[in-house]
Amino acid sequence: MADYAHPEVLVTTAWLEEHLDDPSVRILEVDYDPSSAYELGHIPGAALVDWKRDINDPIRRDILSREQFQQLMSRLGATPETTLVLYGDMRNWFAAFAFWTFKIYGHSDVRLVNGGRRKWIDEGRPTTEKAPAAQSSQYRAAEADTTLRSFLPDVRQILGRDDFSLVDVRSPAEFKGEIAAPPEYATEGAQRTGHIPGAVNIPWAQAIQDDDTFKPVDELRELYGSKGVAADKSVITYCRIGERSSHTWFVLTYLLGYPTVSNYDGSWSEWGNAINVPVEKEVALS
Amino acid sequence: MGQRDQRPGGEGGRALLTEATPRLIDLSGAEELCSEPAPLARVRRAYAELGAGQVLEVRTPVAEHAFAVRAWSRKNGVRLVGDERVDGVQRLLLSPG
Repeated sequence: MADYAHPEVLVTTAWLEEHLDDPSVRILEVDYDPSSAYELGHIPGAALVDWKRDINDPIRRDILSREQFQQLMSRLGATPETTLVLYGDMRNWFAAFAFWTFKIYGHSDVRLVNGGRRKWIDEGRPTTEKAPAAQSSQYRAAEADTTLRSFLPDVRQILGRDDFSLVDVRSPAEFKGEIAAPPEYATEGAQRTGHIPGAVNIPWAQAIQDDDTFKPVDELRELYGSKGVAADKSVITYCRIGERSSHTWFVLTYLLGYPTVSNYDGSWSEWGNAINVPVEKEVALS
Repeated sequence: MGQRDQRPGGEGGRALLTEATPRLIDLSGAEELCSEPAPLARVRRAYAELGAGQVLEVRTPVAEHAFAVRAWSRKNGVRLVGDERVDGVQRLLLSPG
């Protein structure tokens, strides 16, 4: 991990097991579906962050507000000096999304467990069903760093520009326009399939190895560089709702050290439904 | 065709701990494309659709999936009548309690 641009944002499962009782560390499991993960067993001392309830505004389609972030951190007993160690279900997608939002609100020391929940369990490390008791705190957050996030108008403005790269991290079938969202993800559907014009397709999972840990830096550099996604361009990542793309945002920002990377969390579930925006697809129009 | 022939692996398939005809769900590659329900959601759904006397066989190479299936079974009164690892694949047999 030492060769990454910012290796300090990753912890190994072994490091985490040694710090389970470290009072300066707050371990957070970020789940899309806690009933399929956290509630069945989690890392001892880990508190639950429910992605739908805690990281998203319950009414508007938006990430949590600064006030909601402060309330979340206060409930978890964190201070701005706390080391927040994140992992979660679904291959760390939602943990990466939480990492991104925590950085938007300026939390300094956020780390991701390399390999996440899957590696922890695969290695037979301890788990518990007991939720920890937390002493609440009074957390004051910074103003949002809007440079980490792109909105639909931002993406429209850069179409066709060669100083930007758009990275679509969805599956090839989604990128080509063969499928949109499956029926099981009822809130992620789109009226049209395909991709944003000019985007390159680099599925998120190409950045990880079989054990879910990140690939070595040379392989990551080759993976993105070979598709023209280089550090001298501004990069915007997207997927369907912004969670897989926050995983790639993490890779480009912290492992490769690209200076200007933002996540378009509106992603295909916004673009594919929006009126009067262009779409490219590689399957015949029906 | 007799019931034993319909078991995953057919007559030559490795005998598990039940003689009932399992319904098979394979979680290999689940989550890869974010185009299917989460692995345990698929198990829950398949389990809910079991007919009388049927058994659900879950196959997965991922320890995290097997961990979830075991814990969910324990918490929901589902009998785990088989649990073994064969050639890198965990095979779990679930039966209505």
